[in-house]
Amino acid sequence: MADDERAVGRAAAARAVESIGPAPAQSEDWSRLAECLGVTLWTSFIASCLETGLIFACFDPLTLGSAMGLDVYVAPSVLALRPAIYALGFFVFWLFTFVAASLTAYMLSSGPHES
Amino acid sequence: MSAALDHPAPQAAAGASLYAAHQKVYAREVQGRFARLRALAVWALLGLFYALPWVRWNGRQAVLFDLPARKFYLFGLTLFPQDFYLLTWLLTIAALSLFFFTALAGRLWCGYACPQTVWTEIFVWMERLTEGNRSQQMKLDHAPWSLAKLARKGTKQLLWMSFALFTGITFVGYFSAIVPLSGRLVRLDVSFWEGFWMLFYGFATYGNAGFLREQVCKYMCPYARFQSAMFDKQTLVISYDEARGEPRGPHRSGMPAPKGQGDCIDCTLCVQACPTGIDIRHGLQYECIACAACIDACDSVMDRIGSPPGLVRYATLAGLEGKPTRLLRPRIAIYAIILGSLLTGFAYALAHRMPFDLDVLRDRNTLFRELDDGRIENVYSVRVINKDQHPHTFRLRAIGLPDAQIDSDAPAQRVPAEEVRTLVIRVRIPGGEQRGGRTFRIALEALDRPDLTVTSSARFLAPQTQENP
Repeated sequence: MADDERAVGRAAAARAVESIGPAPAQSEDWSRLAECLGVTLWTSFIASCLETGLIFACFDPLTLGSAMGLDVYVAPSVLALRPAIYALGFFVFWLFTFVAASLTAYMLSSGPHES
Repeated sequence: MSAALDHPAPQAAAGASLYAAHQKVYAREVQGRFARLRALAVWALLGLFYALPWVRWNGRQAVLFDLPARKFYLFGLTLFPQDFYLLTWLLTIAALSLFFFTALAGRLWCGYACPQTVWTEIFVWMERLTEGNRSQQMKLDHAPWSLAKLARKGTKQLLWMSFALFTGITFVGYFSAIVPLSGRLVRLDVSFWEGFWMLFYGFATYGNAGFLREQVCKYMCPYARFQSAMFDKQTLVISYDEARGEPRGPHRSGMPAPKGQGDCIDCTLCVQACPTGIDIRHGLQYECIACAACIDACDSVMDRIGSPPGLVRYATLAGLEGKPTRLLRPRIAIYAIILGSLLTGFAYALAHRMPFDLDVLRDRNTLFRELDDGRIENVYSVRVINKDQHPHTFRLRAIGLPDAQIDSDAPAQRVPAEEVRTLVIRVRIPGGEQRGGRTFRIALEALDRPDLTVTSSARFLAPQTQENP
């Protein structure tokens, strides 16, 4: 009796879930690849944001340039170089952390513990 | 699932009427107290985000992270990269607050304050505006393409994209003064990186809030995975009161539950209202972002059937098991004490921040020089940072180096407000005073603020022996 009612309840819930009708992309489960890609991109993104903040707060790219012998304080327009270096730095960090994260994901999912 | 659907349900008629009622109750669901609270949070947080760059303070943008000049303006405060420790401190405070609130009442952050939730809320609102409520949206999605469908979908996309672009522009406005930026934007004269970050941030908003939504929480968010480590049996979480609700089944409208039956009428509104598509009646699940939409939905149903609210409510696991609920417990107290001391320390550090700073770098090209008169000279590059909003004239002094003299092109260096000056100084000591290396301090004093001195340590090098440097 109670089981019967639960089955009805489940049916109603199933009906309801279908009647909610979320946009098609929302209810689908991600494939393993999409999940790995999403997770690694996102965690490496967060890490590279922090890295960029930390590294460029400690080191001024223009001072690094002048330390390497480049006379970069000449024109004020050169200041515009900074945002470009920050941006490039961010993407380089993201690339490296992404490679590390995907390798980690790959190795953990294919290691002896998994099989 | 289809077999279950085909089940010849005896309550088919009741189910149908309940289903029809869903829509009404569903429409009211957005007016529950938690929905109001979230709407408030959304307006406050997004309002803050979009309005803040336009706020002026002392004739300039109140909050501006001037990356090219490496200066952060926060109202009356100007922060330099040297103040980065304050930011890391702030991040620590933020992380600890997250622990504290999670231990106290679960995922408050997720439900009310996370940018993912806040922006999704606005995008869902735009979707409802153009495509109607959930069942209308579903109908529209299943309908063949028509002019009307194209118009609705097109309007939605237009709204989404413009809002996302506006978001991207606002984001860049935190880094590049927004008033001139908007002027340049009108003339389509933004720099490459400005344009790039506008599109990048706009696209991220559009993708995350328009399409990914709860999938970000479910698949990508690290906090969702480890937040359970901060939970215990005394944490307030959104829970279904199984003892009161089960066995579930339909009631007659306005009548109390039939004998032997729980309060849950299995209307599934809680499931329909859930943005992550879970059934809260299955217990606490990691997908739950604690938005409390199911509480609002259930309370409105309980109200309709004349039962007290709270079948789904904020409750502790201990409370649901009939044990006493203790919100104040060692874990909370420890988090609160650490958080309190960090906040106090932060306020103190901010209030007592030195208005100037000093960086000393040795000249790498020469270790030392012996002058004609026998004195030993070391050369340093000194950066004087005036964080104050007034210009100051500074003097440098050597401490811990007997008879040392500092020689520079300008004996007193005037540094304008919020500026950095780099100067080369020569520190000289009489010959024969010292052999080898020695650490000393260079002190920076403002002539008009003799009470404040900042020092930085440096290394002075002299020949090991007088004859053979």
